[in-house]
Amino acid sequence: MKTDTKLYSLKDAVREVKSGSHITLGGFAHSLAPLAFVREMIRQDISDLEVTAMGEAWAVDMLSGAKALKKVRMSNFMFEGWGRCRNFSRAVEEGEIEVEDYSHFGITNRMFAGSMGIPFIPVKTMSGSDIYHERSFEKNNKFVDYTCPFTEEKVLLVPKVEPDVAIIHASRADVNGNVQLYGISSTLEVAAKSAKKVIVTVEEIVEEEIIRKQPELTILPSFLVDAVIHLPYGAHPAGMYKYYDYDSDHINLYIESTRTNEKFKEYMEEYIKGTENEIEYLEKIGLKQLLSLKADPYYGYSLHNRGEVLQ
Amino acid sequence: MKTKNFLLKEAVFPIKNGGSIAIGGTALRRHPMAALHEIIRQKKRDLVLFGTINAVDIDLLIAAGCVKEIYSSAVQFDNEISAYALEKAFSEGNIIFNQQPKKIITEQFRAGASSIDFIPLRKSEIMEGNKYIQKLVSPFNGEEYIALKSFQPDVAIIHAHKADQYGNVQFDANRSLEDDIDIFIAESAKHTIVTVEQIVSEAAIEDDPANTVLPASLVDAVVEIPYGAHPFSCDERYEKDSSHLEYYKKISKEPAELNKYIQDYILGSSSWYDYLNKIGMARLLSLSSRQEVSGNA
Amino acid sequence: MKQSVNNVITADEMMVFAASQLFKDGDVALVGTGLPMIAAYAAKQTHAPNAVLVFESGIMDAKASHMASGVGDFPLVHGAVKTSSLFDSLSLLQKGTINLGFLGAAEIDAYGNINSTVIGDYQTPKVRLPGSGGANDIASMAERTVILVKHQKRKFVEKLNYLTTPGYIDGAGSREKYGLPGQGPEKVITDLGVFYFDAATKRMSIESLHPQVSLEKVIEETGFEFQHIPEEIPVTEMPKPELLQTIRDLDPDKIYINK
Repeated sequence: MKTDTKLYSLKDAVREVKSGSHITLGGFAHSLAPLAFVREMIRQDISDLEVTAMGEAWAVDMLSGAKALKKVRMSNFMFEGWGRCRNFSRAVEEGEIEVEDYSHFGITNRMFAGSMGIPFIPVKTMSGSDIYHERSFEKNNKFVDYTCPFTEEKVLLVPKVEPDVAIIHASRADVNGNVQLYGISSTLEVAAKSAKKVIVTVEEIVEEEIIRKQPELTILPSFLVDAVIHLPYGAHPAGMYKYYDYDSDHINLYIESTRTNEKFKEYMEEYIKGTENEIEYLEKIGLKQLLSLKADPYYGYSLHNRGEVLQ
Repeated sequence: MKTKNFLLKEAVFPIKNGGSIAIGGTALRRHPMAALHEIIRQKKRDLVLFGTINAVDIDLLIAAGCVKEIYSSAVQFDNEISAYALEKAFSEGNIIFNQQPKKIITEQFRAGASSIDFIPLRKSEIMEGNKYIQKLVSPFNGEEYIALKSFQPDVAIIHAHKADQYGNVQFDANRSLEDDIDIFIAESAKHTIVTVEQIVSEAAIEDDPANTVLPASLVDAVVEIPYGAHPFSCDERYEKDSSHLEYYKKISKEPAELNKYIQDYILGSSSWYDYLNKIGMARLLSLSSRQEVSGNA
Repeated sequence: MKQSVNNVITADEMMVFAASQLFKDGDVALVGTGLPMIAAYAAKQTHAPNAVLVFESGIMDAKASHMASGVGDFPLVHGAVKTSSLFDSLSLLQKGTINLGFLGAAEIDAYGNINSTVIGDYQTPKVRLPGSGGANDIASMAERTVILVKHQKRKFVEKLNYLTTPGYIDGAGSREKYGLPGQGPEKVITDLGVFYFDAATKRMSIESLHPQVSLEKVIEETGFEFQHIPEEIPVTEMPKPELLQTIRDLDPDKIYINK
């Protein structure tokens, strides 16, 4: 009988992510972002990271603002409805981060090859653009032009990518590490499967029996997961479908703080470095604010947040 | 349809000094604590209370000087020791406590919910001095019964899981609705206030009609109050706060300390959120979780 | 042209209408939020009821109850027929199942190439922009693509800072040379007019201008020369009043149109 669980404390799990390692993170627009984990990475001063990401704007922008990133493979970072990721953009403009650009499908295929255990995969996108012509740190490892030996179609070959650690925020899990998700999965699945180690933070820990009742919600079975951390509001200020909506007030405050390095330093001092743990962070946001984001059970998001004021 | 979504202050305001109030919740679950705090803050006096199995809920109202008379099976702690403010007020003759079995109370609420003035029950012990119980002889067979006067309080306050803004109230699924006396309590009153964990969309209510326990026509006010039953449990939503209940048990022995508690937690809190902040994020998150929250020292 | 008063049509509404006309019934379209999404819903409510909308986030055939702030936003999730992954959505593009795509642009050139990556040098940019996202994938692989963009001189440039998303690249034959499966951009719809690409040169040409828009204004706001300007420039077709109302009803709070 199994006795060990995969349940970790946030502090212990973050210690597993070493400075200089290669990571990939979850997140799509204002959802699925593993931001409680990212905040703790910043508290622990983990730095010199290499990131492979598709559009995980929140995690990348925070880590950029904390000067924790060195190299980024990416497709698109943008705060939907708010605009550019200023911390990230500034770090690139100031030469702090080396960037290698791909399209969404291009970078995801690199993860997909990693998740399949194949060395490369052909794609029919990106050719002819500056994504193809401009090579940064990947140099000749970025693409290989190829003609299909069967059909003679022109394709690009992209190599697999295998990050050291994938950091994912999902809906719920059991203590064994069976992870479930409501709603879109974006790139969570391929990102996790491509990585050597998978850390998952979740809104809820439930009994194994609950997982087994709805296996169709499982996105990662426990044997693909190394650590699970219980972190309610772990995506804040992003949201989680069926749990809570994204926090427009705090997003405004965050975006405002990213206008200069100095202002973001103040933000970090107050909300990240100045808090001992995530409970303290949530206390800073305030119970009333967090509870006001609660998802409507029918729609899966907050009607207060969508301008349908009930009172 | 007219919205019945009110602020807590507005919802409690119509309660009159000397009025009668039925309080929902049983034993250590789902007492409408936020509303009771507001009653204390609004300094309502000489209330007549009806409840099933009560605890800190009524004890606090007594300690705050709001109560004249009580109909309940018990006002007690988890180990069935009578609550201290009740004991003190009762022994000093400051309140009338009509203690009667829960089964009888259930029948009185059930009758009240149907607007029947009284209901006969097979003869059992008669509680002397209880205005709500009298002897009755059956007009059919001449046998002796007791007649229970139904409970039809001025106001009922219950705490539920969710409602829409029009006052259609639901309990969470997978619960035995038949046994829930809160529904009778709500239906028995002339004016019904329901505090809920969440005000939800009409679509959410329509999506799950079988779980509607009170239609809007039976509800006069709904108020959104997350953790509104704290320190009591709210079924699957959160556990009872044992450490806070223990703390209350400890300090309520000393009237001075109990007064300070009322000062600090109730009169000194500007709102329910203010109170919840005093309980703390870590505690509240752990009550609503099956597993400890990371960083929750 | 900001205010919408009765039947006076705004530039946003013209763009939405023109875009909606490019939907064919049964199209499977990859759309972003904003004007293309409103256009798609307008088409679905009128001439293309069987059009299907796929969002790159993995949301398929969405039926939103509230306006979404982006392609991953929760109102699109609720009521969709499937919630899937980005990899899954974009695979359908490569396979050819998704046959129509919409694009926006920070910079666009005469060949319909788009920049959304950097201003300045790639390695040490003056301004780092968000990057391709799914745009390059749509432009490379969707059979038909349509570009919606505000018509401004700083956006309509002779030379891009960086070619993020291919149009016709260097002109005729380029897409074939690189093996891109899609046909290249079919139309560019702006707040001033509708533009197409000349068959021989693949350079942008004027198809029609919106009501009250002068040729001088368009030339002034365009940093390159059009390949072809008709002798008599047609006026872009206007929606019937019912359709205009449909478009307005789709965004009653003016989140995307007439904001």
